[in-house]
Amino acid sequence: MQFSACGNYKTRYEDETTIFPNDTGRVFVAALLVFLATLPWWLSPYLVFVTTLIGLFIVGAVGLNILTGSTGQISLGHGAFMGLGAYAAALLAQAGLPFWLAIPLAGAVTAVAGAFFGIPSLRVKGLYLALATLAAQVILQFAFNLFDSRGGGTSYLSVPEPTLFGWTLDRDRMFFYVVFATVVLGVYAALNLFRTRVGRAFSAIRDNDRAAAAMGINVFKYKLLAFSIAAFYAGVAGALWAYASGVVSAERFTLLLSVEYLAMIIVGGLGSVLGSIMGATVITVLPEVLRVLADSLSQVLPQATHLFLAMRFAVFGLIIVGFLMFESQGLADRWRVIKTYFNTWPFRY
Amino acid sequence: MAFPVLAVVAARPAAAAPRGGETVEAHAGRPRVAGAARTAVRKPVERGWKQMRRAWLVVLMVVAVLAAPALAQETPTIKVGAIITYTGPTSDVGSHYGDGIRDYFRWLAEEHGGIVETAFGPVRVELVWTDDQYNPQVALTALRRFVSEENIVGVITWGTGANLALMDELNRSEVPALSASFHRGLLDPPGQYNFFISTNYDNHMRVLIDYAVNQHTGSSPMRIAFSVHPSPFGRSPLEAGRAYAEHLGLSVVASQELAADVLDATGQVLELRRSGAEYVFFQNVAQPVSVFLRDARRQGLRAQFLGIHYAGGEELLHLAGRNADGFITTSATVTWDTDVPGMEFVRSLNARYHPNVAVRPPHYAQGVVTAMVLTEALRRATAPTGRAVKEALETLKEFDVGGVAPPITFGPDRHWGADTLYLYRIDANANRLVFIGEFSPNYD
Repeated sequence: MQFSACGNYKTRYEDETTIFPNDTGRVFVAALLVFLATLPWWLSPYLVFVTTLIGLFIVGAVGLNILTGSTGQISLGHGAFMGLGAYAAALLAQAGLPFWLAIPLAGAVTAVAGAFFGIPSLRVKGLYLALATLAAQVILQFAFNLFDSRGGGTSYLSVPEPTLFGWTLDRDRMFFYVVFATVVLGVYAALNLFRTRVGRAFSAIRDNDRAAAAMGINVFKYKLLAFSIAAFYAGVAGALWAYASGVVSAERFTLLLSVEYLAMIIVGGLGSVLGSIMGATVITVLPEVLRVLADSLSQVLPQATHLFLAMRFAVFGLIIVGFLMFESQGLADRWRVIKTYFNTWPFRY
Repeated sequence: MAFPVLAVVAARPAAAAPRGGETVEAHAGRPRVAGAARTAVRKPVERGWKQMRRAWLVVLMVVAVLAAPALAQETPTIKVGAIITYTGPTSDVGSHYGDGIRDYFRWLAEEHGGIVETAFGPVRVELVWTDDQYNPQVALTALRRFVSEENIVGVITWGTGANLALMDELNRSEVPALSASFHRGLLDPPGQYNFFISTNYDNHMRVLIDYAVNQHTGSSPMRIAFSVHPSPFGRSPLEAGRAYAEHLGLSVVASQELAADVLDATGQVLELRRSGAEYVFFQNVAQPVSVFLRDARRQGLRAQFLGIHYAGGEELLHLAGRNADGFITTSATVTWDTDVPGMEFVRSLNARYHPNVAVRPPHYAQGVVTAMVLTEALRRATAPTGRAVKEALETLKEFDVGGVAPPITFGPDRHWGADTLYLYRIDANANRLVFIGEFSPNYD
């Protein structure tokens, strides 16, 4: 086993595309996975639920990063795509499909919708594309109101608990493993996507789509593909969300969620799978931490409750601005710097 | 009880102990000793005094350690939760509701030490609460936190959306919820863990329609319109309202949605003016309704406006002023200046904790009443579990809340608290709400 390299010893082009440059990363990731798999056995159900949420937002953020970070197509409809996946999964689950079929099928349905709403991307770019995808957000949000299982046009659907071989995967603990497995699979697929012809086509389109076309890349096809892959990830995330919460509500899948997704990949690092993971973790955990802080502060000083609750948003905003100013390459880049430092540690030049 | 008292008395010198020797003379509890120390040769006496204090300190700590389990044994703590909306949509009325709940439990803690005499002995009740931002996912996360980390035995909640999201979790973890939402779907199927203190929104809507029909003279069929909040809360009574209007042979000319953060409602008002609506029924919170009323006056829409409970009462009068004159609203609780013993208490709570807030909409009193009902259920509970509290809630019969709301009755299959509701008309000139009467829906 080789744990570090002090220089560049690559001899073949394939070496450039390896996911782990040396065995340190492999050992680290293996240890991390084992550690994460033990979480449900010693964390409280609340923290397991928060971890589950982080997991499913990682899936969604990886998807958006493929589209926005790696293909350069901005999307303001990612939250609605997640909602579509959630509604699709709820309907499929109500029809009696097992979760291991309902989740990928929900992803597939969303992928088709994603490709459809990605059609304008051939003609419009940048801010104009942002507005075109905003249309997807609005249209889908309107469509969610058609569904109702709890009376009065409330746009609610209940989701039965997932079962595997007649064995209920309870939402407190066992469902964590479904999300965990999906995250591992999704991240693995995304990492490998960029080692293929498709991934290189995406990068070419991001850097300059006319040059990409001149090189013989079918720009329209690959843009649609990027949209549908991103939507597939979002749909799977939504399906997981539906199972995790037991009820699907349109109120969660607003424009705000789409913006949160963009915040995740910007904070984490555009075009980096690792960045999506870090960004999703920070953006999911941060409001939770701020809420607990504000709650405990206002329990001490009940007079200032309204102030603390309002401050929470200001602090959240400040932290995002701070990230943009001091970590403009995202958390993934900071991680790279730390790794590089330890590459030669403790014998620096 | 000897131990805790001793611990409290003993705590005083212990608190003074870490200070320097010089401060001893300033200590009010020991003026004579301090004076003696001053007149005698200073150093040795002071050292002796210091040692004595150290010995005292050790004794006190031992007493405190011994007393702590005794204290804990005497009154176990049980926790109740509140997941309320202080920020985000509907927080304009939600914050009053939240203040009512928190003020009640704060009063309970200060006046009674939080002690409630239950069927299984006295317990200390503690409130844990959080703001859900009107976001169902946040509410769900908060509930899971409260259930798994705080072991709550009951929870008070706010919005329809959040409550729908919480339903399954409440039933699974067996924690009863008293919601501010009166959505019919929350009680379907009956007998689960959701409760609310009034009759459902559908009945509120039917009472308003009945009232309008009784007042109506002139055109036939009467032309009505609905304007609702774009959320499960808003849409909740829409279907029942339409069906009831059809049943009575009324013509529904429009059905609109009005968002909580709307700043201009001219488009909606003009549509209603074109379609000649004579009665507009709101299911919304105060702020958007006030915007609508302002634009209705500007554009000369001459119609009677009526709203359900959360349309605002005093809050709407405060926001819309003269534009709200003649507005009819249903309410689950009485208004601020109603002369009943329960309101005396509600007003004194507000004066005690919010001396700068003069008038509150009915939702503050609603929060207090909801907290009272939950506390009463704790009193009747046979065990410190959510299931026992649910069963205790179901034993409430004509529970008197001092006239703030109709007496509250629950049963195993009846999880709505009252069959009647109050009707008020806003009188902007007198700057108050005029009581019209107590109504119940004329519908089965």
